[in-house]
Amino acid sequence: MKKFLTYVCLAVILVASIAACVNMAAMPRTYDGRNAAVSVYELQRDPAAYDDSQADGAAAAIIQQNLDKAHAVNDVTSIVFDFRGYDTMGEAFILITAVAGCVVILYTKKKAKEGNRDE
Amino acid sequence: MNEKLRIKRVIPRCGCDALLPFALMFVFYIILHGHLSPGGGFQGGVLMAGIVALIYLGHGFDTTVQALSYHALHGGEGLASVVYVALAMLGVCVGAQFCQNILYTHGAIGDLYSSGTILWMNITVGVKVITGIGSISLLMIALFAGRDIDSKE
Repeated sequence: MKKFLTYVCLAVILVASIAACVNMAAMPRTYDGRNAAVSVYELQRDPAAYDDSQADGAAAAIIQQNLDKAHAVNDVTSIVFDFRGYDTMGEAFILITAVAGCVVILYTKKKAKEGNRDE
Repeated sequence: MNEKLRIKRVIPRCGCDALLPFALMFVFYIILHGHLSPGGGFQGGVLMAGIVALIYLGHGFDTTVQALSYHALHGGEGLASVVYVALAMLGVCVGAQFCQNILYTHGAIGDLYSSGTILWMNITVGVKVITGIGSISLLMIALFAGRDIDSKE
């Protein structure tokens, strides 16, 4: 029964992922790099000349109003700890979970070790 | 421990003592300057694994366990996560949203003390990652040395 359920679940996941892949292949391309407004080579040569006035949505708020809203020079830190602070909290709790798993596996009292040796 | 082994261990110990202050300074520099330059709490805290390995290679297992208390590290991690949630709830207490930056007007842009709660959250996450990675490294070193982590010899 357990094995049967496992196989059914795996089959459902397989079918759903195949359907998702087929749908994704049928979708139109969102970005192919041909009509890019920014040449990456020139951006790397001269970062100060980057034109960020064409940014839209959340990118515009982060690029243009970061210094007004967060007073942090590093954009990445202001995103991680201010605009997406809830996400960072989840990341921090993932670390706690990982440490707890490591403690369960690796933490051994001396008594248990000696008991094993006696056996 | 016989005399020969003691003499042999002088060179790694001197190397550890020479490198350790700079390594610790690098960790705290990366954490404190997270809002000014590339880096941050996560990136700086992971360097703690190297510190623990350096102390172990230079001074051996007993000194490592004496210098870095495992239970203090384990408690500090939980404490830092509680402080992070408290800092995130600070916005809710004054009527703003969760995790909203409410103290950002303190300090000039580009100073070390600026950007409000970003700096404090950065420090708490740094402490959390330092303690978490440090306790994992201590456990792995205890496993590697075949010793108990609570032993006081």
